Order: sequence, then structure tokens, then C-alpha cells
Amino acid sequence: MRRKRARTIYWVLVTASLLMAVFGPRLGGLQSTTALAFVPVSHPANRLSNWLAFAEQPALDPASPEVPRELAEITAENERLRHRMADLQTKLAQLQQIHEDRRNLGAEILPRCTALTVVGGDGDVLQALGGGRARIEPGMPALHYGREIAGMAGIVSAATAAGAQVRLISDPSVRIEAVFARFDASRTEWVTLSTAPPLVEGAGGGLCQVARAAREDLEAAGLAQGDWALVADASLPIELQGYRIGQVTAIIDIPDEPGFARVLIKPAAELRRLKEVMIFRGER
Amino acid sequence: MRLLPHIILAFIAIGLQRGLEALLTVGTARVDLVMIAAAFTATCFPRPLGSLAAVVIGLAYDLSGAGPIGLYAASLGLGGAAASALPVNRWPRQAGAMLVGISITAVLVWGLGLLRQWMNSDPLRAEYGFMGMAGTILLTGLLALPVSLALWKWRRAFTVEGPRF
Repeated sequence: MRRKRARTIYWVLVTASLLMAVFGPRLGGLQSTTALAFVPVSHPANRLSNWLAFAEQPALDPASPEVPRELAEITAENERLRHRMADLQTKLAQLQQIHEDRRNLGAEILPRCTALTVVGGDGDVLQALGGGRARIEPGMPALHYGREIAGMAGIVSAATAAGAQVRLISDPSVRIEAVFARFDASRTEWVTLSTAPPLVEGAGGGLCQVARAAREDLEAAGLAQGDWALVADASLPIELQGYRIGQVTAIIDIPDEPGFARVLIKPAAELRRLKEVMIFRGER
Repeated sequence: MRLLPHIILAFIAIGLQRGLEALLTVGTARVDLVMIAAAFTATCFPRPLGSLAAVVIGLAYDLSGAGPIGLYAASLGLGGAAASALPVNRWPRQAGAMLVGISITAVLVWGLGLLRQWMNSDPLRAEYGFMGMAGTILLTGLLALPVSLALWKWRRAFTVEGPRF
């Protein structure tokens, strides 16, 4: 009898799951909230993953005592204090570096951003925690920053009181209108290439693409590897226009459509390995 | 019923999968710890309960991710049913049953992803594509062998005997 009931429950669940999988909507808010239940495991694992990926070095001891101590107790205390100081100096240096890196976002933009810590991910979607009292809403742009450049990271797809789910620009459901541009070092300014406005969409696997562009148009504009795709999307805040999306890595002819090419774009950072995303709230 | 070890196993597997996402992904393929945990759980219970446990693990996995709800629940449920239908009285047989469960799950995830794309115009993520899932079967299968050996050594903590009649 119990076996029969278990079998009935099983088939009801499987059928409902099949229907939901094919026809059901995405429940970003619910998923984002449920993901928090796994944070006790996913967050340390995520930190470990980043540590392994970037091979962060332990702090070096910068102190050098000039006068050797004789008393074992004082030596032990000294040792402890040196380690503590080394730790603090490393943390301070890291914080200074983060502060410095964040300034790459721009003086206009940084005060209007909220930092969220990435605690996990699912393909091209990141799960991030934080935000405090800042009101984060779906549709808000997420930015990344690094040592040299900052750029678009993705779009908030769901938000809860504890954090948000960020769909990266490499996710196929994210589309951003853009322009191609090249940095002219001699004039120290960006030169926009006159192509038809490209629609940059996620290609999965950490890459973006312009799925279909006229080859003739690209050649006339002189688009080449290393050129940048910049945000030119009216649905995004004006402050983010001209923000970097990524760099052209390849222009591939579409075999079935002569005269058309697919432009592969690599985001300006390894988005799946971000430790932190900055959510642009908009209000001052 | 020895439910707690399975709940802890599934919780850790899902947490690690979410946290180590970047590390466990190679191109579009990934090592799927949840598939291993669900296939193992399915082989530890008498038949309808093993499949049911796999569905519940899949549902928890769906709810903690960003994909369509039910994609892994249905796939792991059916994959788990296949794994639990096979005899597992020796380690090679259990490892084989887990590999069958993992393969069927991956194929179903790919198929359901395609179906959703076709019915719903929802773009198929590269991880759910053919190459992604083929790679996932390979990577997950390779990891499943040593993991299943370790779990086999600890099977007393996990296995639930079915009624013998």
C-alpha cells in the first residue's frame, strides 16, 4: 500500500516537473531565496574556488625586529603580534586595492552603486549576497571592475532582501544594444565604427556575440579583432552609455548565410569568477 | 529509515555544486556532483522510494539555481528510476547503475532543454546543449567511479533494505 502511494507520488511529481520544465516560467525570486539555504556550503566553496583559481599567496611578514628578545614569553607575544600585523597589513592592502579598483567605475557611477558579494553561480547566472538597506530591483545593471578597466557584468534578474540573482551578459537571455568602437591612442579618445547598430547577446560559456551582421558593413567600417563593443542601449541609464561590454575576438562567416558573419565578443573580465558585482541603482 | 545521511549528502552536493561552479566547469561541460548524489541515493532505497528521493533532490537543485524549475527534478527522477531498477549488490554493479542514471539524466536534461527552447522560445544554455551534456556525462562519470567506491565503503550508513518477500 505504502509502495503504491510512493509510486503515485513519484509519477505525479515527475509529470508536474516535466510540464514545468517545458512550459513553466522561471521563478527567479523563489530560486534566489532558496539558494540562500545552501549558502553555508556554497559560500566557503566559492571562496575556496576563487582562492584556487587565483592562487592567492599568504601574507608575508614585513616586520623585522632589530633587537632580539631573550625571554620566551615576550618572543611568543612578539611573534603573535607580527603575524597579526602582517594579516592586518595584507587586509589593508587588499581593501586599498579594492577601493582603487572600484574607482575605475567612474566618479559619477561609484557612489550610486551597491556592492554584492558573489556566493555561487549556475552557468552564466551569479548568486550574490549583500546590499544592506539599498533597494535592488530586477532589471538593474550589474557592473564589474578590475585593475585596469570596468564594464557591464549583467542584469539583475531577481532580487530579495538578502541579495540578488545576476544574469551575466554572456547568458543567452541577455541582449544589449551596442556600438563598435576603437581606442585611438594618438588622440586618446574612442572612435566609433560606423556599422549598423549591433545587438550583443549572450553566447554562453562566458562569451557574447552579435549573431548576424552584414559582412560588407563590418568590412566597410574596418571592424577587426581587438575592437570594443560599448553600451549604446536606450533602456540602460545614460551614465552607462559607452561602458565596455567586451572585445571582439573573432568574426566568423555564417556558412548558411553568405554575406553575413557572427562576431564573437569576449567580456572585459572573467565574469564567472567575479568576487563582487556592483549594482547600479541609478538614484543619487 | 536512513534519511538523514542522504539529506546531508544532497545538501553538501548542491552547496558544493553552486559554490564550485567555476571550478567544476570545463568549457560548456561540468562535473555534476548532484547527479552523482542523486544516482547514489536512488540506488540505496527500495525502488519507488529511490526514484522519489532523486526527484526531491532534483527539485531542490532546480530551486537553488537559475534554470527552469522541474528540469533536473524530472530528469533526475527518471534517471534515478533507471538506476534504482538495476541490481547493486556489488560495487561494480552500483557504479554501473550510477553511470546509467547519470547518462539518462544528462540526456533528458538536453532533450527537455531542446523541447523548452522549441515550445517556449527560451534560449538553450550552452551547458544544456549536446556537447555540454556529452562532456558532463564524461566528466561526471569519471568522478562518479571513485566517489561511488568511497560511498560503497560507507554503504551501511546509507542503504535502506527493502522488504524481502
